[in-house]
Order: sequence, then C-alpha cells, then structure tokens
Amino acid sequence: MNTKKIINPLISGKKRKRNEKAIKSVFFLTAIFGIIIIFSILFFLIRETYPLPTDIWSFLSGTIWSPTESLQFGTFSLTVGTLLVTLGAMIIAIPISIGGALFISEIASSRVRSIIKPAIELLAGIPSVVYGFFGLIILTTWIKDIFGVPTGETWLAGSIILGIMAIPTITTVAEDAIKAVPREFKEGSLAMGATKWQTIQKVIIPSALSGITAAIILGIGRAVGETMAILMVCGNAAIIPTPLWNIFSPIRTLTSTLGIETAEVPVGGPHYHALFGVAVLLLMITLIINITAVYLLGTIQKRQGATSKKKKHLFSITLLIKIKKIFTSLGLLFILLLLYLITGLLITAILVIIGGLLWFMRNKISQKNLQKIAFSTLGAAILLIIVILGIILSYIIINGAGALSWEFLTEAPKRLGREGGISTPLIGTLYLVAGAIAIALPIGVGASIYLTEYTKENTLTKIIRTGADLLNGTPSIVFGLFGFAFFVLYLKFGFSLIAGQITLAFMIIPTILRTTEEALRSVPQSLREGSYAVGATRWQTIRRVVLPPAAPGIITGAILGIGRAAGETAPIMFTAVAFSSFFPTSLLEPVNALPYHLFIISTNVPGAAAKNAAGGTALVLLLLVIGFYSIAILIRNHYQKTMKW
Amino acid sequence: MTSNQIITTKNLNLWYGEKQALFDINMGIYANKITALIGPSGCGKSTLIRCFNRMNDVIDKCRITGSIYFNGNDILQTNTDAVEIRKKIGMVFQKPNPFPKTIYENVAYGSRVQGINDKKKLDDIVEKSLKKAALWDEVKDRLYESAMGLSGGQQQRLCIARSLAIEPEIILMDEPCSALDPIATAKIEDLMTELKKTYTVIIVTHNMQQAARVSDYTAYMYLGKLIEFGDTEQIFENPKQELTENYITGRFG
Amino acid sequence: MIDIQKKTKKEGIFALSLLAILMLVITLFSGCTQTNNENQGLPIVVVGRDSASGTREFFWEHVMKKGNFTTTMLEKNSNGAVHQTVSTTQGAIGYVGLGYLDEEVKAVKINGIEATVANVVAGTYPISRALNMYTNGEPTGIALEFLKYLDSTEGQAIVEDEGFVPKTSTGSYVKVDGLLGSITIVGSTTVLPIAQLAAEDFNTLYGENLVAVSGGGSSVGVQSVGEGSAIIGMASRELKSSETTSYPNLVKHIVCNDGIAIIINPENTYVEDLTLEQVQDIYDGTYTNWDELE
Ligand SMILES: Nc1ncnc2c1ncn2[C@@H]1O[C@H](COP(=O)(O)OP(=O)(O)OP(=O)(O)O)[C@@H](O)[C@H]1O
Ligand SMILES: [Mg+2]
Repeated sequence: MNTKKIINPLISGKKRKRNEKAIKSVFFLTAIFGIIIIFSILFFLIRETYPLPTDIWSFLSGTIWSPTESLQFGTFSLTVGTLLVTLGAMIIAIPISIGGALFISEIASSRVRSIIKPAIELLAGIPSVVYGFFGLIILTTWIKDIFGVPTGETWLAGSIILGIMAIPTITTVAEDAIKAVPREFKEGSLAMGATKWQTIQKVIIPSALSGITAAIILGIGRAVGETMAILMVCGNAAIIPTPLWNIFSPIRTLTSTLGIETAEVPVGGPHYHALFGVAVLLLMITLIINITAVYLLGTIQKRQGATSKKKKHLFSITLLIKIKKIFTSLGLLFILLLLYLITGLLITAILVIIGGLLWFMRNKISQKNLQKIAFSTLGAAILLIIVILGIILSYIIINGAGALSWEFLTEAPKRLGREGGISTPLIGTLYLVAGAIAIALPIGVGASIYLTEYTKENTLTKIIRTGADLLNGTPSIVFGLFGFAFFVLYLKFGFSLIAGQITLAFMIIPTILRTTEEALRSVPQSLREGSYAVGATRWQTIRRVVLPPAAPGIITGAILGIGRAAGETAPIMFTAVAFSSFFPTSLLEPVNALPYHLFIISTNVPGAAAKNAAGGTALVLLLLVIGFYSIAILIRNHYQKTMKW
Repeated sequence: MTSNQIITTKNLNLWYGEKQALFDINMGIYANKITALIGPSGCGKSTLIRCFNRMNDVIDKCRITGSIYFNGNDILQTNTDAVEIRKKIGMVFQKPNPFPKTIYENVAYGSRVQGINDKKKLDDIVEKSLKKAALWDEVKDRLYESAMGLSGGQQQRLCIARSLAIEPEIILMDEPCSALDPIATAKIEDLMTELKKTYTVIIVTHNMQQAARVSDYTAYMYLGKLIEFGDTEQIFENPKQELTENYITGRFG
Repeated sequence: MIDIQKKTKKEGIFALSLLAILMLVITLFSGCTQTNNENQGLPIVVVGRDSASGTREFFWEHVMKKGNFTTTMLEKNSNGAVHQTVSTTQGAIGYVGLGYLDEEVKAVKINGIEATVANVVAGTYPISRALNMYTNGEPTGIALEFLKYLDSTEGQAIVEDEGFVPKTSTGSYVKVDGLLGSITIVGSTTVLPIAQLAAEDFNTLYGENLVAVSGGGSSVGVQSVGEGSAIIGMASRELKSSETTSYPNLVKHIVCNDGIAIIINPENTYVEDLTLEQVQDIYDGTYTNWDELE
C-alpha cells in the first residue's frame, strides 16, 4: 500500500530546476542577441541617415548621383545597377550551379565527387578582393578584346564575377538538398522503368525544390551584398544602361558606391548622410529578398509537408509555376539577346532554329539519347566551374609565387610594402579573426542550442530565426558602416582592433548559428529520447549526448566563419585597419590586415615593387583562407566517414 | 483504484496540434505484471506509452488533459518533475538507440547523469545491468568498444541494460522486437519474463503471438480509444468487443 | 508518384536553356567575334575618381570650372585603380598624381607644358594642389618635431622620391631630446605614403616608435584629429565648412604639393597635347571620340 501522498516524491530537485532555468536563460540571451544586433544596425544606420539631404522620394527615384558637385542624391540608377548585375549573375550562376550540383550528386562517381566537391567549396573560400583583382586585370581585358568594346569594365564583367562568386554557394547548398532526397524515391522511380534523367527531372528536382530555391536565394543574397569585387570591375558610372539590356554599359551598384565613397566622406555632411541612406536602402533590399525567401521556403516546405492541411497561401502552387515560367522565359529572352549582341543575327537565328527543332523533336528523341545530351550538358557545367577555378588559382599563384619567402612572411612591411614582408598584416588578420571567433562562437552556438534544444516552435523562435536569416543576408559593407557609426564614432573606439573584431563577429554569427543548428539537428531525436528516458536533464542530454556528435559540424562552421572573416575587407575597412608596420599593443589601436594591405599596396602605392608584393600578399591571403577551408572540409569528411548512426 | 495498480489513467486525452490522438483513456497497469498494448498502426499505442514517462514533453504542439496516477501521484501535474519520473519509469524504444559511445558508457550513462562517478560503483552497475539484460557474456570482453558496432539485437538488449541500470520500477517497451530476428526476439521475451519478478513491464507489440505468449494483461486500442482491457487469456479467447475479435482473428480492415 | 508523360514542357525548357548556355559558352571561348571597327576612330573612355575624393574635387574646381562630369565616367577610388584602367584601355583618359607616371601610361602635355615636378615647381604646369596635415591647435612635442621633419631636407626628399612636388626645405633636421610617448597620424591615403615613409625614418632616427601612421581617408583624418583620437590628421583637400564649424581649432600645415597628370594609354596615337578646355570638354562629354580631337 502506498498511501503517503502528502508529499509528492516526484516533485523534487528544486536546485536542479533552478540550474536548468539559469542555463536556459543564458542560451536565451545569446539567442535574442541576433535580434538586438539587427535592430541596432537598423537603428544606427537610420540615425546617421538623418537629416537626409533630399526628400525620400527624390532620393529613391532620382537618377543622378552627384553628391559633391551638383548635389543631387538620386539612387535609382544605383538600385537598377544592383538589380541588373544580380540578375545577370544569376542567369550565369543558376544553370551552372544546379547543373553542377546534379552532376556531383547524381552522376559523378564517388571518386570524381570527392575531388570536385572540395574544389567547388574552395571557390567559396577565395576572398573577394582576390576575385576583384582577377576580374579587373584578366576578365575586363578579355571582355574588351573579345567583344571589341571600348572598356571591359561593364555590367557583363560584374555579372560574370558575381556569378562565379555565387556558384559555390548555390552549388553546395543545392547539392545538399539533392542529396537529402530519400533514396527510396529514386529507387521507386527507377524501378518503374524511368531513365536516370527522367528520375532526376520528375522525382529529384521536385523533391529538392525547396532546398534548391534556398540555394538560389542565398546566391542572390551573396551577389547583392558583394562590394570589393564588384567595385573593381563594373566601372562605377552611375548610369542606367541604354538600352536597358546593354550589357556592355558600365554600371554602378549600391555596394560599390559605399565601398568607394565612404572612406573619404566628411562626417556629418550631406554626402555622409546620403551614403548612410544608401546603406539603409541596400539593407532594405536585402531584407525584402530575405523575407521573401524565408516566406517562399516556408510555403514550399508546407506544400511538401505530408501532415499539413491545405491552407490558402498567398502564392498558390499554380502561381508559383507561373512565376517560374515567367522567369524561365525571361532568362531565355536574355540569353537570346546576349547571343544576338555577341554573335550577330545569323548565328542567333541558326541557334534558335536548332533549339526550336530540338524542342519540337523532344518527344521523338529516345529517352536514352536525351539522357546522354542532358548528362553531357551537366558535365560541361562542372567542367566550366573547374576551368574557372583553375584559371583564377593559377593566375594568383603565378603572380604571387615569386614574392614568397620566409622573410616575406616574418618581416614587417617597409617602404610602403615595397620592401620587407607582411608580418604585421598577417598577424593583424590573425588577431582580428581570433577576436571575432571568440565573440561569435559562444553567441552563435548558444543561440542555436536555444533554438534547437530549448524551445518549441513559437513566435519568438520565428523572430529569432528570421533575425538570424536577415543578419546572414546583410551585406558585409553594411556591417562595416554600422561598425563605423556605432563603435568608431558613437562609442568613440576610433579605428581599433576591438571595433573590427566585434564587427567581424557580428558578420559571422549567422554562419556559425546556421551550421551549428544543422549539426544539432542531424543528431537523431532518438538519442535525446534515450537520454531523457534514463532520467537525464535537458542540459545533461545536450552536453553529453547531443554536443559530442555535433562537434565536428560546429567546428566546421567555426572554421568557415574564420575563413570568411579573414578574407573580408569591407567590414574592417571603416572600423579597424591601418596601413601600419606595427603590432597593436592594445585593443584600442588599429591593426593592419592582409586584405586591406593588399588593397592599399595595389591601389595606392605606385611602382613595380609594390605590384610584386601585392601578388605575394594575394597568394598568402588566398592560402590562408583556403587553408582554413581545407581544414573544415577535412574535418567534415573525416567525421562523415567515422560517424554512423 | 485497486491497490496493486501501479499506474492508473483517468480521462486521458491527447492532441498533436489540432489532431486528437487519444480519447478518454481509463486504464490501470498492474504492478509486477506484463501488460501488452495492441492495435492497428496509428491507433495511439506509442502515444499512450510515451505519456507514462512524460516523453511527449519533448514533442512540439502536444497537449494532454486528464490524469495519470503513478503510485497515487498525478504525474501530469505541471510541478511534477519529468526527470524524477523517468528515473522510476524506464523506456526501451522501437529502434535501438545506443549513444555513439562505448558499451560501458552507454550503460553507465544514467548513473553518471545522476552524479555517480565512482568507478567501482559504476563497474558494478554496468556488470549487473548487462547480466540482467542477458548481454554480459557476449560483450564482457569489449566493454570499451563503440556500441555502434553491436548487432541490432545486441543493441536492443544494450538499451534494455541501459534502462535497467537506473533501477526503475516500470519499464516501457515500444515494439522492442520489431527490428529483430526470431532468435533475438526469443531472448528478449525470456528476458521480459525474468524482469517481471522485479519490475512492471508495459509492452507495445504488433505480434499477436508475442502478446499472448508473454503478457498477463492486454489492452486493445483502436483510433485513439481504448476498446478493451483485460486478462490476456480472456482477450484472446473470449473478447467482449467485436472490434477486438476482428482484430485478433485477423478479420480486421 | 511518378508521372513520366506529363509536363514534358518543363523538361524542354530546362534542356533548352542549358543548351543555349552551352552554346553561349562555346561561342565565347572559341573567340568567334567580330573585328573591331577600326575605321570608326577610338571612343573615349573617361576615367575619374569617386565623389568623395579630394583629387576629384580639385579637378572639378580647377579643370571643370565646377561644371558637371559626363555621367558615363568610370569612377575609381584610388590613383592606382585609375592607372590600371588607363594602362589596359586603349581609349581611356584619366588623372593621377605625378608619382603614378610610368611607361604603362602616357601623360599628355597641358597647354604644351609637360607634366613634371620641375614644371609644377616652376609654376608653368597648371594642375596642382596642396596636401595638408591638421593639428588641433598649434602642434607641440612629437607632432611639432614630426612636422618639422617633414619640412626638412630629409622630409622633402621623401616627397620628391614619391613623385610629389616638394616645397623649399628648411634645411637638415636636427634631433631634439626629451621626446616621450607616441602619436598617431590618420587620414588621406594620398598623403599616407609620405607620412608612412617619413615616420619610418623618424622612428629609426630616434630609435623608438614615436609615430604611427594609418589611412582611413581625408575625412576620417579630420574627424579623428578633431575628436582627439589622432594627433595629426592628413587630408588631400581643404576643410569643408561643416568641418570648420565642428572643429574650429584645427591648424593647417602644408606638407607638399601634388601635381596632377592627365594620362592616356600609350597606344593612343591621336593626341600628345591638350588644352585645359579640351580636357574639360572630354570630361563633360562634349567629345566622345578621339578622332574629334586629332
Ligand atoms: N509527433 C507527432 N506529431 C503529430 N502527430 C503525431 C505525432 N506522433 C504521432 N502522431 C499521430 O498520432 C497518432 C497515433 O500515433 P502513434 O505513434 O501513437 O501510433 P501507434 O499506435 O504507435 O502506431 P504504430 O503501430 O505504427 O507504431 C497517429 O495518427 C500519428 O500520425
Ligand atoms: Mg508506435
């Protein structure tokens, strides 16, 4: 008989409960940090915008940007430039990347895949200044010579560079999505006699659609926010191309306007406020893209989710298909136009006829041959990526190898970097990165633990997650301007190591948050249940069962963050860097950094010696960042092999 | 409430979001007996069994009303500590879910999270539990190897050992044999009969013979409702409800 | 689940766009292009600096006479970038500091006068401006000594080496005793090379790191010295009215002059010599082709 019911023996562990609560609130704090950051960014950018030297309408719709001479502050041509460059980049990157992703996950043998996949990921590790130099020196010259235009610094050059930069992002994310399609689906299709290519089209692509869309949106985000590379290759004339599809017109984006004008602008003047207005506008555009993306993904996922009841969506499925059709035809039209511009009427006509014939005969071609055609096209896409990577890498190696030596790495720069080495920027970069990761890692990991382990989905988590997504899509130059307005001016840190570290940390928090969340989610729920079932608390479960197998994923995220922080110029340009040959002795002193050193010696120091040093610096920067990425890839591969559930 | 009912449910209703998965369940589980839950797939067996150790807490959007008395205390009260309940009510899952740790650490896990770190004590607990789970002889030479290297049947017995290690009063088993071959199944069935002496066992199964073989009581569920509950013999030989009879004789659906 | 017959359209569009891209790529890489239209002269590619640049402001006031630049002007945020573009673009014209002249670009004569340091010193070459440093109040201590060093023979030698236009020097620098601490100099990337090199020599002379230099841009320089986070601010321009109101105590110190060369591509055979008015007309878009200037 068990009748002593006065004290319920199951109510106990007050202290433990208090501990659990304390731990939870720590994680909660880290989680809301993301929202705080995004709001403070908005707040400080908008604060610096006031007073805008013109009314909002003419700021948005005016086509003339002449902030110092005729004092006109119209940003419309910059907005159009941003959109056009991004559009072009996507037309280049989307087919190549998705083709590449399909090739890697569905066609390539595992040996080929194990080479190609890391190669593409390395493409993501190349710092944007390096892309910029490649674009400025090689790409623009090619465009000028091949197309016989007066200058190669054009919309086309910008789109190609941005397209190349977006390829790894889109490819890897899309490939993950394709790989996640359950094998049973494929086998089900193949078992019914469908060819591999039919299976890809009918089963794999539709099932992976949400992931592929996410990949594309990430790519768009990357393209819209890119600064350093684009400002070097686009010519930066603030005009709307005439006619609108003139891909050989120079063009100017919102980011490059910020990139080239912010450093020299008098603080507090009309030009200064207008530039912050541009930053706010840029942030708004990326916010809109991000929110649309989050929303679209939500709809697609809901549509695919088996349990959900039918709800009315703003975008119905038919509408989605329509949108897709419109985009496909737009893309087709653009390509035709491009063809016409490049090759002239005759060849275009022939190609159109061939295309039309193929289109017409598509049902007559045997499925086998269709598959052959399709597979070789996909193969061509991947080949193209590899060739691009090869060209860029070999260019940088050829130009930099001569300068490389032990002294180059260990000596401080002398005579403006023409003599001596790069020890101060190298160490400065390491300082910046170490500080950034020390700040970002606890916050990012903490926030993702809170999101995945502590909460059921509710409005708050949605807000936090959206905050993180928005932060992830925020252009790096916007972080730079925020850091300038907040740390440098408002908190009076001046150009300082600490301002740069925090700004970089803010930038990489979303990267860490996302990868950690993914890693945590990949730990099977059954393990957590197994732990709870023997009476472990939540925190014990997280610490002992969830975190250990998630550690490689978290480390990978951290290293990717480090790589990103090491290669970025825009966020530190207005917050931390000095072209100095000293090591900083306190957190409040400025530091030199590799990307900035490279930027300065190649643009502000004349002479062949500087050029030589610039080549060496670019190579070291590249090796450093690629080194970080390779470590991340190695860790991942190692654990993918050893971890099995 | 009968005195030897260790668990009693009263008007238990459960919703996953909008969807109700359990309707007014009233039943009692007898101490030191094996109770089998049977019923067609999706009828709510797992859902019910997971209520007993509040495992549904971890599922989003899950809402419960009613009461579950365990030794006379309502475990659904918000101030009841789920952790304490789970120390007393262990659970074995459908798919073996050993942690990616060594065999030893898997079994010692429950004790470790309770703060026992004494090596001697742990050794003792590990050995005793593995022996109870009839696994000791097979793994005693490889205690420090990864549990992921064990066969499915061995993994399941390891999970049983893991839950025995914290010395619960009740063991919940959700289709513990569904992934196992007949030999491993037989081993686990023997084990259950053995366990009955010290523990109360609740088992979910799709295997009629198994339910008939091992259980003392059987509950038949259908569409979230408890249709019939009684002596196993009575349920299988002389069901009162037509639904039960249909299911047992295979005329279901 | 699988529906092989339906929706072949989508597949078609997909295959077709892939195909079109493939062909585009093939066309691109086989170099299948038209020949340049040589007989149409050479279009002018106007290259200038960004709106925030001190060089541009000077150019705008003294060459453009405050008239508008053509909207198709390519904008670069450094001398090096202007140089790079002009050196690789046959029809380009740009303006850079004299230090950036080399065999990769060709400086045109202005009103018949060659762009050289000597001609700027002589006052015959018309486009030059002052490079400045600012202190908050009269300089003292290390700042004063460093400014003296810049004015000395040693300092002005650096100026000349870097291709800037030296002032008459105040004679050889004399080391003083009792300098303690360190100062930071922040600002214009145009002045940065001089300050950086001078600081290196100055620090070597004293055997101590007395002076640290960093860039950031003219405005950052003025701002920093005004707010007190730097002792000396560098600027390649005069103070703006907003800056004189915010920081009324700033004292200007001219480091040297900077001659601005108008550069074209060495392969441009159309011109050797331009008048200031012609340069203005090129930059405001009146001329669009070099053959109009032959
Ligand atoms: N996490 C969940 N979210 C929403 N619905 C759920 C969830 N888990 C179970 N359900 C639903 O609740 C109902 C009962 O599920 P439950 O898993 O208890 O069935 P079961 O009797 O154990 O079935 P089986 O014999 O197949 O294991 C089913 O309709 C199921 O779809
Ligand atoms: Mg079940």
